Amino acid sequence: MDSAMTEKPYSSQTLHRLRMMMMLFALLAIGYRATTAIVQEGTAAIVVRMGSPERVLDEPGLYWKLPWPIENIEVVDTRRRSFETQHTEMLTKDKKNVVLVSFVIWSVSDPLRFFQSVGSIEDADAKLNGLVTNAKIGVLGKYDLSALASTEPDALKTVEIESALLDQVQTLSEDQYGIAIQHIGFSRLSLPKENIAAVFKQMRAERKKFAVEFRAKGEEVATEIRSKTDTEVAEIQAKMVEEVATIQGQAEAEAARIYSEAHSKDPDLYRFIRSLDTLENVVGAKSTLILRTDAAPFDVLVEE
Amino acid sequence: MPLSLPPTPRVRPRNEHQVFFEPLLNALQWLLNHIAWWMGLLGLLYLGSGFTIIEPDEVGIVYRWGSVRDGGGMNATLSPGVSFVWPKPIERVERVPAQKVFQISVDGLHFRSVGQMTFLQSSTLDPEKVGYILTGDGNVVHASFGVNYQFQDPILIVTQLDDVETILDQIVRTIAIQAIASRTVDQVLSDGRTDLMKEISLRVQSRLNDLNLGIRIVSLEMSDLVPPYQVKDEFSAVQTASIEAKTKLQEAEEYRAQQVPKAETTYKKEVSTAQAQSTKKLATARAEAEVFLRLAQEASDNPTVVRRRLLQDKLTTIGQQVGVIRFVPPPLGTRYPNDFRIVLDGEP
Repeated sequence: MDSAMTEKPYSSQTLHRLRMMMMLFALLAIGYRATTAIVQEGTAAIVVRMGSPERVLDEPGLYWKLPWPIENIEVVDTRRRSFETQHTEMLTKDKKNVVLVSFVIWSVSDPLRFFQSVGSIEDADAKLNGLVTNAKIGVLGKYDLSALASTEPDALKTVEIESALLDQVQTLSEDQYGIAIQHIGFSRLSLPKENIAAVFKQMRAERKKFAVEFRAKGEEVATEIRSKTDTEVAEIQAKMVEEVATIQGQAEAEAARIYSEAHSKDPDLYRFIRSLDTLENVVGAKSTLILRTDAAPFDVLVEE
Repeated sequence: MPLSLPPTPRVRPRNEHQVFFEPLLNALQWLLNHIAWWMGLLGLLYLGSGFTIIEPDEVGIVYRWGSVRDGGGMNATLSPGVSFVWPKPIERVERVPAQKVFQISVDGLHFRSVGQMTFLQSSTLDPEKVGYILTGDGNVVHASFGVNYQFQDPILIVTQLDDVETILDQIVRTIAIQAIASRTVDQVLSDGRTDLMKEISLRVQSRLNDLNLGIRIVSLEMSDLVPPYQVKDEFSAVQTASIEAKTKLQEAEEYRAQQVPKAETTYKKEVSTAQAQSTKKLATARAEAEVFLRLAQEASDNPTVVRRRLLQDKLTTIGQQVGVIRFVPPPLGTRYPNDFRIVLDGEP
């Protein structure tokens, strides 16, 4: 046991190897971290040497750099993003107030300029707000309100206004801030609070008018349908009377022809029969029949 | 010579520190003795960390040193299943749910976007608080939309867009504003709604394509489209009037549906009756004419008998019809046969 206790648990050579390997790994890791920069997709990097921008790494990939504090890396997000301006009340050409909110789709096109003149995304929003609002006031002043809202297709100029805004803002933002604006649109188009009460009043009056019109139109159309129906029914009835009369007339004429053709064979007999028929038809319960007792039928009783 | 003990070898006493670290150092010793094996094992584990599993609804975008591999070409993405990429920091994989249908609600033009509904009591709308849209005829409506979309180009969306939902929300709003601003409030709220939604859907997709945003609209639905609460009663009144007008129209149509067929039925019935009566009349005429002709034929042969029979038959009939029959005696000078006498009522 004593022998075991006296044995050296590890050799100094082994410890040395261990230390050397650990140091090598640590040096490699530190060296890698200190001298490389990975630029990710959607970003750009600015290599700053002793506080002065040295070069721009605007393609993603692995880059070499001098270790800190000689060179430092500033990353700029170059992805497209959107920004919404504040509500801005402005006057149109026809002296009407509108409240507009615009949105801007933009990205960093010149990382170095953006880094130097803007600094951060939040600061960019503030600068874009001023730029776009200023342009809006200028551009909207050249158009009537009907250019933004109208039932006349020719009067609507929204796309033209958006395009004019883009033209006005794009160059400035590019030159001053290194920002490329891809699109400007209106995400809100409203009227000032004070005007809405009048709009409501107009809407109420219009609705009342429509209600009256609906009822009147309904009544008119319903009456028209009923009248048309009555006319059509009367026409059917008239046609019916006419057709029935024709049928009956034809039948009467044909019957008369048949009778006259037959009766013409013996007109005296016909007159005799008709007289008897007439006699039968004219007597009734209040009639009195007077018969001589020596005449028919009683005469047969006394005939010798 | 005094007896002396042999000198005891000097053992360096171990302190507590050495006792505590001894097992650890022994283990390290063992590890270092097998360092090659362990380095190999660690290397394998490192390489093994490059295996990645992509779920069925995902696509894996591979970045090599921060850049999309193969310049965004065929080898830039991994299909669902198990794949191998070089471990970090050489390559990394970003999973993107490319097949998933995402949904957003666009409520910025509706009063839903307002937390407190106190504006309902107001006679106006504050544009900074309540969203609405101007119609082409100067009215206002509240509208909200539901958008279902997919990633058409996952690499573009992940690497070039900061916030897909915000951009999509704003594009839907701007297109909706333009589409509704070109229509009357009645077109928007009633019969033109289908056309409106069709136009908005097409224009939103077109704008997304123009801006190369890599988004595909699966469906765009209108969640709500209503007039302002402040004029709700007037819109309801118009709806009531419209229903009343339609009711009157339906009643008139019902009247027409009843009366015309009824008249046509009567027409057909009366014509049919007239035709039947006509047929009957003609048949009767022909029959009576036939009877008369036969009677005339007989009368030409025996005129007295025929006429007498006809007279007697008729007298019989008449006698049954009349109320009173009186018999009168023959005139003076005529006489009854012998042993024959008719005694009239009252005659002595």
